[in-house]
Amino acid sequence: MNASPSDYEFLNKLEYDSLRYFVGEVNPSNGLIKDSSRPGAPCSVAAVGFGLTALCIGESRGWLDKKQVYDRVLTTLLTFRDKVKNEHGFFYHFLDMRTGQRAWNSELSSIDTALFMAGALFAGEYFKGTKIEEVANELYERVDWAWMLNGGKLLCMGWKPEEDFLPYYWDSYNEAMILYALAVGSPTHPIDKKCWFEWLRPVGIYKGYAVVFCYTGSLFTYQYSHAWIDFRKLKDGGISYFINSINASKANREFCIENSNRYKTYGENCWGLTACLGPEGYKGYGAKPGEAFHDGTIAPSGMAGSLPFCWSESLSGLKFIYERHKNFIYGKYGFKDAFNLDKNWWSEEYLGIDVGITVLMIENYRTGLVWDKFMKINAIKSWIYKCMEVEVEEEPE
Amino acid sequence: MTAAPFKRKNYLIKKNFQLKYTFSVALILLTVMGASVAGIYFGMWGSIIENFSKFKVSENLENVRRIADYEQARYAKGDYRLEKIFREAELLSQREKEALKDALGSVNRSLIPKITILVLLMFFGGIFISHKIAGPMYRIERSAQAIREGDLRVNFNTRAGDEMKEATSNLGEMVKSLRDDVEKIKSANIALDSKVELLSGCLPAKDSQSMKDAIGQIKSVLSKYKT
Repeated sequence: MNASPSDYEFLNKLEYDSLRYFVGEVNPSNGLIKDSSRPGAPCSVAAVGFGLTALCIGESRGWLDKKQVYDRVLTTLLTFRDKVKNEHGFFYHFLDMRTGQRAWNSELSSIDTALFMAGALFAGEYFKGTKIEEVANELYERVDWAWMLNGGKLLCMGWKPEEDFLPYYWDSYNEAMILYALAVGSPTHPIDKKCWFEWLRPVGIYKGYAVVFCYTGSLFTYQYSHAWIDFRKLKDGGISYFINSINASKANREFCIENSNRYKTYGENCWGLTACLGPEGYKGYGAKPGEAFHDGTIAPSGMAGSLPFCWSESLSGLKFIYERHKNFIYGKYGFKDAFNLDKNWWSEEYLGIDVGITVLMIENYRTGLVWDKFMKINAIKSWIYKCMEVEVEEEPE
Repeated sequence: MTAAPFKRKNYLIKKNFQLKYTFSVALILLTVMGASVAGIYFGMWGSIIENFSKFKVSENLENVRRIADYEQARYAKGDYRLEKIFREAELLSQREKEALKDALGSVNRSLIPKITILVLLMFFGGIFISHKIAGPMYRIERSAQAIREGDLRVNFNTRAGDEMKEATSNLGEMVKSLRDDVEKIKSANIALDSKVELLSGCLPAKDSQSMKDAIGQIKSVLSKYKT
């Protein structure tokens, strides 16, 4: 970590405050975590995945009591094992906070199940040799990943009992690398390693940065898989996804600088176009390369999630927003979701997945705790063995 | 001249007794009604009011809108506004139906134990209250049977809290008086028997025998009464 003591203090505060979301916005009786701090919000299984990881981070930093974290994590995993409805081991995207049953008619979601599993497996590795590891493995081994292929070679995005499989597949680069990794590495219901190579890897260049890009250009797609998987020494047909995320982050920043004359919010210290709340609701904001839908709304979590990729730019941006707008955008759980200066719009909410990526990426930047633990999991080792090339550091002369 | 038909003029023959039991019955009914109303109000209407309150509907609308937004951000490529409106309306309608169904189911589930408790309460309450009357009545019936068979040693004791204390007390007095009279007749008959025995030599044999037979008959009748 190259940050100064004041930077360290700021990151410590941001990480601690953000982590409080997973203590405050939870149903303690079943461990379900709210999708957002908005009253009446349902549980998001992806937020639970981030939350399980964040709780362990809180314990490692001494912010949370070990026994309480252990009990909360175990309660959560048992809820998912015994009470939450699943189909072939997959969970619905949103759940009723009280009952754990499907909320509204949300879809059985492959990526959200994967993000939950990442959190569960991380917690299992963190509390290795305990009941938590046993239940986490039980949940992971229960998932029939091959079923989600729907007879093809690409994983489907979801399934609904009323409609069968959704007509959308994870067919191009995006946040789903962790989904494919967990599916390939499964000891019980793996998908063929060929599936890893099926999805497209389109390359685009913006301001000199070459990026294997996601069509939305949303920054979170370059961050979520990296929250758990340490891609620094991994290559895929010559592609380093870690360097790819560095380039995507820098391209995103350049895009904001380029558009700063159109939108007051943007600037060299205010960038990070990512999916978040906006004046017109939740949108998949993004930059180039990609569709680059944007309206001047910035989520601080975009920069926080890129801390391991371009720490200097991310940290400067986060501190800039904090110092300039903290009265409007900073609260009890750290940064609220987003803001837009042109429309004088300030989010009043915190989103579980956005505070989640903030906590995990600050920790990875500071200590690499999540990466270190997660890379020891057998399923991940199996996926690396089947699909990835590992860079071996040369011995110094 | 025909007699005027009998008309009950005083409906409160035993004022205290009748008022007491009227109050007891009313209390039970009020309790049942109160519990039922509370169960229905808090169980069904409480749940419905909560689910359909302006705040809750607003929360639900926001949930639906948010989920549609998430789906659009993830899956849709373009403007699906009209489709989204229809889908939101469909979702909301489905949600409200589910809420109503859940509320009714929840009320039914909560009412079953309440009704069971109320029925048990009424059953045991009824037994307890009626026992206060039925107990003395049973003992009166049993004592009357014993008296009919000549046992004048019975008493009409009542327990604390029993009704009809006055009636049983009067009956007890009546039996005691009867027992005393029978005792006296028995004593007088014995005395009469000894006198007749003494006078038997002075009386004609036929008359003496006739008196002894009469005394024997009295003795025989009195022997049925245990005193």
